[in-house]
Amino acid sequence: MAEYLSQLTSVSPCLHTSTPSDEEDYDKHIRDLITYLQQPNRPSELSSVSGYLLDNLDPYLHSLSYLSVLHFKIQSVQGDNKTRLSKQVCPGGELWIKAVRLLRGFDPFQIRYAGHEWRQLIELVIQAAQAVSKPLLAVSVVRDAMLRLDPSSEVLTSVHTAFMRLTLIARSYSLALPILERHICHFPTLTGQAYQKYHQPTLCGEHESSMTFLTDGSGFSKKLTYRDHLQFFLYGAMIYMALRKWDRALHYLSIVISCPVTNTVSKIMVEGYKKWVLVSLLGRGMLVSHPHLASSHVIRAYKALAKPYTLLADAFEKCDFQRIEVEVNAARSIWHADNNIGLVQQVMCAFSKRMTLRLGMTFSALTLADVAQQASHRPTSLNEVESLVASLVMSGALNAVMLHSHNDDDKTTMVRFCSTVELRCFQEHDTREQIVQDSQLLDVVGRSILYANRGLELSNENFLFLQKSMRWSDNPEKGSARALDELASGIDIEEDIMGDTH
Amino acid sequence: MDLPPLSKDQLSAVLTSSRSPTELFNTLVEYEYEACLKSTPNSNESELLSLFYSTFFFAHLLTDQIYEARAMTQRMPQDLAQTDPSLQNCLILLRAVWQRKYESVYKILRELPWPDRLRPAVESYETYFQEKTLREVSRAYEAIRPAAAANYLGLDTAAAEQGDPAIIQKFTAVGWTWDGNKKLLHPKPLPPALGKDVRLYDEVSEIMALVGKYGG
Amino acid sequence: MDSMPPDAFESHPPSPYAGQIPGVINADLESLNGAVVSTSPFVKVDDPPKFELESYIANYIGRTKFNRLFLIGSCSTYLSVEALKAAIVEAKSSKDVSRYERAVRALAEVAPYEAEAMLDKEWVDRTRKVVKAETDRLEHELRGYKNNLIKESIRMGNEDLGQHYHQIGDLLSASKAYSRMRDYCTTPSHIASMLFKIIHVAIERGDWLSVQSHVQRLRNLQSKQEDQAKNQPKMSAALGLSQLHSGAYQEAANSFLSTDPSLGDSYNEVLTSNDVAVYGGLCALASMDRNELQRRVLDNSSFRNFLELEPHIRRAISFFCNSKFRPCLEILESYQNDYLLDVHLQRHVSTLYTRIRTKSIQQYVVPFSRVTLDSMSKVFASRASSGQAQPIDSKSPFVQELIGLIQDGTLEARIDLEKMVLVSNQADLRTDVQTAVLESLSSYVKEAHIRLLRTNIIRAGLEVRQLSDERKQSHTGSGAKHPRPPTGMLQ
Repeated sequence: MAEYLSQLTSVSPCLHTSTPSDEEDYDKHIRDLITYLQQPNRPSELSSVSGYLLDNLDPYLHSLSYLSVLHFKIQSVQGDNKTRLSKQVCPGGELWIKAVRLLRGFDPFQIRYAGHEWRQLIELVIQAAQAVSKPLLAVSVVRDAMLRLDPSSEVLTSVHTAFMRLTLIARSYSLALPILERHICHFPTLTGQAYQKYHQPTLCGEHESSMTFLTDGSGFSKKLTYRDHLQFFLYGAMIYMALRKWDRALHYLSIVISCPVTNTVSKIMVEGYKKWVLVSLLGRGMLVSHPHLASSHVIRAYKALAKPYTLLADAFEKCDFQRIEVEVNAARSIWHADNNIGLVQQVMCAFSKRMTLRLGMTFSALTLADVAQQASHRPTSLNEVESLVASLVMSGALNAVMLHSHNDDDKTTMVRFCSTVELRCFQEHDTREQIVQDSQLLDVVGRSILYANRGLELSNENFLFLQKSMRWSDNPEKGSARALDELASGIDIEEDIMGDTH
Repeated sequence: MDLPPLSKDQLSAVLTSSRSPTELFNTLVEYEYEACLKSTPNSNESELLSLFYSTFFFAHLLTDQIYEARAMTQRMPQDLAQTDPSLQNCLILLRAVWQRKYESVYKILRELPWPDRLRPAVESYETYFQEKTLREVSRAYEAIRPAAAANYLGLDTAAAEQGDPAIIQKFTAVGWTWDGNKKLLHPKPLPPALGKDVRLYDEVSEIMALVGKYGG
Repeated sequence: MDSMPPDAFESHPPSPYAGQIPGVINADLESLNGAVVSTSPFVKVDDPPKFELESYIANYIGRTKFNRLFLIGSCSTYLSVEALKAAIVEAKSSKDVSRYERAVRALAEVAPYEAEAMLDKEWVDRTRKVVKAETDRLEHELRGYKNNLIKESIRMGNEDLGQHYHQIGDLLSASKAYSRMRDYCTTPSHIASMLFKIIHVAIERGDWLSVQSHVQRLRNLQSKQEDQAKNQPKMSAALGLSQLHSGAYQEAANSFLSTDPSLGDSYNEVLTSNDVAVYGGLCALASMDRNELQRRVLDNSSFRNFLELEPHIRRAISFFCNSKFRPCLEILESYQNDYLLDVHLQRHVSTLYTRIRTKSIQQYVVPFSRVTLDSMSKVFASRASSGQAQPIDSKSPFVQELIGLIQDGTLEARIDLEKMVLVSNQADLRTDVQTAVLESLSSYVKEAHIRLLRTNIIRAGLEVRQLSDERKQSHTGSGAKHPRPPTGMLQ
């Protein structure tokens, strides 16, 4: 046993102050260890003494060994049984605790060599937590593991999509924000590009971008399909919807509905469009214009498939409450079927808010009785109106002040809308926040575009293109060279003439 | 995972030792994993769980995360939520806060039986809610009847209507003015509670400095 | 030219707003000409107009006389009997049987016991016979000319036939006959006279597109200077009329304003100089601001000749220019009945008046940053409510009107119901710019993010595709965007 242990502890985290040659040495060490672990009889040997090994291995110092041993053990416990989880793996079980310990404390550099095992462990944790109906148990573990592996979280993996789904099931929306706020920009890099043969950075090195190790062959992600990324962004939008962050939700939905397509539209995109309509009503009080990146035939397909939604939006924009009610009631079964009934109800509630906000465009001051008359679609008591207006003003949605009159018997309340000038001091804070938020995204996007450009320049297609264009320009180039020569000689002659005249 | 194990004493300690609501919230987020692990049907830890979830609930309210608070009430063990009186009270409170029913909020906070260990959280939320409402009211109203103001802050409305000097004094203390003839209070907008996000200011100020330097 | 058969208009029910939609050609004149018999006129005017019927109608000649009389007869309760009787006389003096019958029917409705309300059967039969014989004769003659292939005769034959059809009220045939003259016209003056005839019929038919296109043709005609000078007034007037009817008030105003005063009474078969003054003045009021009105209408020496005929229009315009909106609107209001009884104006009176009113309100507010609603309502509220001097509140009609104007974006102001003032919106450029900058920043960043994702999606071969597609693609990597090219391609 001790012999195994000494083998398994041969690799420990390298200090990242080292030179590239040290890095290569380290890389070699790790690859030796992997070869050792991959020997055919190793799984049974190691899993039989796993208890001792796991107790004596440090999940950070010897992450790779720890993961392998744990992996072998789980395999031997689980056997071929994929559906029923063993008790040891379930939350609270011995192996669960070990798995959580590893996921919370692994060395991200070592783990890059064991993408498949890492992903399987995460999937197991997710499965186990859901098996005992406590999805929450996995949420923070998985999230921390993801961020530990890739702090920038800019490359989409299948784990991302699974994680989003998990947070939605666990209703722990804000726990997903650290992932969502980092903005996915990339997909696992393609291996098999020609240049990668010549320039293959060592896996364990410090890299500018996590794209270097999150490749399609690394095993950190299953092979992605379009469904995965569409789902990721749709789930992300749903999380923002649950937190009432309409603007962000709208952005994520815009990503979903403007996804590139070839001749067909995904059902997920149609779902996205339906939610996009409702969210734009809730967030902006109107139907915002389509993201113009979505092609027109796609938009047409959406409109045909989401008729009740566009009708509802139309009624909402025309400020026709009766029609809204008619549309909502007419398509009740559709809202239910699409699981959008909650959003639709919020849209109904948002209507009186929107009507009140609109008053600010027409009036600079008016009494509550006027508010009730102008903005509400059904007779409401003044108290109700006052509490609606007060809540809008107090939550900052409505820029107005209210004044009670001093008259005792005539309890009129005046609502005074502020002009934009008076608002500036209140806006300052929001503005700063918005600038910082946008600049974060800008930062991420700017950096990512740089990488994407580099990747595109080095891609096989671009080389082929360059090759082709060089061949084409072969002859003209010679021609132009000759022309240059001629031009030069022409100048000579001219100079001669000048000389003669003198 | 180096937190001390979850216990009632530990919860009380966290509650009293946290320097800010955010800190309290962040600690409790970490504990939710353990609480979730502990929660099994018929577990003998229901008292601890009840205390944990209600404390966690108040931590949400104290950090103004009402939507997340609602999500939390949905993910806590439902059998416990339906039987435990203090969690039930939390749900009632959530509804009142959600609907901005000021009078009921104060009533719930003051009159419902909250467990002793939760008291500090309940009390600090009452103060927090009162301060928050005061800030909002002072911005939302330019003139307000004392009774309405008292209602927002959970004070005695009947006494306020009579112009009780003790109550009026509470408002004048924060800079409001009292018009005895018209029987109206004139709120003075309180500065919004800022300064928590220093980074935000630094970054923008840097940009502004650059604009000032090169933009001219 | 006759691309629009008259039947096409029957499907448009006469609606008071039809005239506001450019391109929708009015049905009123068409209905007067018998294609549609509208049993209930859409406007009823009960008060007596300011004009005196006899002298008013004496200004006109030709068929428009009947049309005007008939319109007055069927719309004005005060003048109906007198006007219809005159219309019957007018119809009986012509050869148009159908309009005689129509006038008698209308009179029978309002005054069944008048002697004229009885149909003169004998006259009808006789005239029908005469008309029939005349038609046959002219057709026969034309056929003869055609056989002889004498251009001038064919032209004149068609002209005679067109004139005949026009007289008997068969406008479609008249227009066709006139159009057939084209191939046989030899001089520019022939063409001009033909075009005028076509325009005349088109005006009566209410075919405004045809009027416009023919005026255009007239304009392009190479003719002598003096002829052009002679034709200009009629052309401008006809063009203005067609623009008025298609709701293009600004253009109509321009056309009427450029009408030369030499028009005089030369176009009385269509309109008089008084009409030019009224139509042009109202269109200008409805579409120009104060400066423009002063410069282009009041200071316009040639149009002044027209305005002198209708001094109240001149007064209304100068009141408007001097920001005295109340007297201006009062003048217009007092003449409303007259205009409602005008064959060309009837449809447009309410639209024109609303525009003038809206524009007055806009112009009134311009110099103020805040105006009391009280002072505004003194100028603009209808007399009935302001006469009682009741305090204005949010429910008074004038405030409701203002709300409507603000909500449709006509008025850049907001109402303060606390102090009862109208506050003009101050553009806060600084905040506007800031908001715009922030907005564009955030939309730029978001779009960049989406574009980047799209690029990367395509690069990774993750576009949405049909399932069969997906399988195929993974085997062959077909298409321009094949995501996984075979490795080592460059070696």
